[in-house]
Amino acid sequence: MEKEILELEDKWVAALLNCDADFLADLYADGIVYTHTNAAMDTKASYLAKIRSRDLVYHTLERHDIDVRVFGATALATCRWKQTSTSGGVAFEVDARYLHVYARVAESWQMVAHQSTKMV
Amino acid sequence: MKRRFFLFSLLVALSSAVLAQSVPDATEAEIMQREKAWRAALLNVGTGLEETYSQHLSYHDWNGKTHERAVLIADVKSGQLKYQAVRMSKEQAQVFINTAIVTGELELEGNYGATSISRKAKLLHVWVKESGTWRLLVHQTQKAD
Repeated sequence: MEKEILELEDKWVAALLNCDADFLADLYADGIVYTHTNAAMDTKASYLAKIRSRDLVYHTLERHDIDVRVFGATALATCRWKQTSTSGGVAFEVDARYLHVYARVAESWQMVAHQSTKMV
Repeated sequence: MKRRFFLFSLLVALSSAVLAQSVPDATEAEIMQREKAWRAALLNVGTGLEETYSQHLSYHDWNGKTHERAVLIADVKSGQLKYQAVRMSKEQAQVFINTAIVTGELELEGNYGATSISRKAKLLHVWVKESGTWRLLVHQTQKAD
């Protein structure tokens, strides 16, 4: 199970760097709670719209200390990430720790929450 | 006879539809109760925290630091960490079968030893059903701007 989640995490990174909104649409649960490092929140629809329109573009993304734990139908992935991105034409550099929550829904894992907390 | 059977079938179908809609709401209400109990436990020297926190609790503070379950409980029980106010606003719950996500804005006032705490943060809680009981698996906050 951990391996499956790690593979999804790798695919998630590739999807962000390639603006692959279709993959993200499959991965994200309809009710995903998506909280950015600046505490701004997105719904699935608003986040995917930003990716599709290239309003939000990830340029680089590095991860360290990836930890995956599975508890029955719930899985957690945490890691330290450093990324550079452009959002609404403004460049960002993020050094944060993110948490991903996956739930097993209809025989597949879906991401139900993403929260990124800035390292202080 | 046919009419009675039709009415009975209609009643069963309507009841099923009402039940199907009410189950998630009932679970969300249950989660909100667990949230309320968690806040009460923080204010009440930790009574009930052991039952609230999963043995696998992952606790990430607003500054990215992590805390151990045992230390968190001991700090509250010993009075080292003492809250005067624990308030939640904009609270929302989403249930995905045996996983529930709660978000909201958390306001804390209290003391850690001699250091006073006054903080407003965005909160994310993940609850999981363990042996029929919802327990808190993840607490993560981030500074609200």
